[in-house]
Amino acid sequence: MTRIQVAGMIGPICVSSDDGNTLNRAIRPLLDGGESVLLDFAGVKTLASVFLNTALGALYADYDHTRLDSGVACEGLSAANESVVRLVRRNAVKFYSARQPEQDALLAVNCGE
Amino acid sequence: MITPAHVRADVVDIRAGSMPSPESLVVDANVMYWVFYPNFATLSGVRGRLPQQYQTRFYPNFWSDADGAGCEFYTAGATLAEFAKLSEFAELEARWLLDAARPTPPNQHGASFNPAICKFCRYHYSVQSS
Repeated sequence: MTRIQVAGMIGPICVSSDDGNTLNRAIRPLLDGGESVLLDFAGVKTLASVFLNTALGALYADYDHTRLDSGVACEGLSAANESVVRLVRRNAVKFYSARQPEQDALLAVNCGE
Repeated sequence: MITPAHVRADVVDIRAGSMPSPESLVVDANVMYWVFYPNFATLSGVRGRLPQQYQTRFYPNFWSDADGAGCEFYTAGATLAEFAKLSEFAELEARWLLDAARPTPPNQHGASFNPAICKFCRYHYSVQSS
């Protein structure tokens, strides 16, 4: 299992999708090589779902969810952030397993504004 | 009507990455929604399927830069409640869209998801889940 120190790679503030993409690109070759990945969030001060969606959620577009559920683990998260990670994984599975018209409908979901 | 003369705050263009970060910010519910709610819009950027919406690009980038510069973030209790309500609306809408039955009150058949259907779903799905 390969450990990625998220704070070391990105910094203590993990909010933007650009940073999420950086982490996403680091994870992919490890998964392609058959490795498991441990994301260590120790030292991360701010963690936002936009970052997690692009870093972790977007992997569900290309990898089987059972592979990701067992092959990408997280540690060093607060209880609140653990539940955000669960929500990101759940939403990604929901999104990428939906048919095209359903995906299009989900993309139109907003906050009612 | 609010005119520019009524606005006492400094108005900044968050798209301009070079602007100095403020020392403190008051955050509204929509910004929290776009930064902290795991909405599907971010996933749409995968494979370049859709351009990323400005909300999921500029708000998080600005937040990240400001946080990194030591900016302090403030909000109000009522704003947190509004953020929860926005998130609930989105959660119920997503569940409703993927539900073949699409539970709808009698006077809303054929309507798009709206606050009335949201309220209906709140009770429908809570009963279903319990």
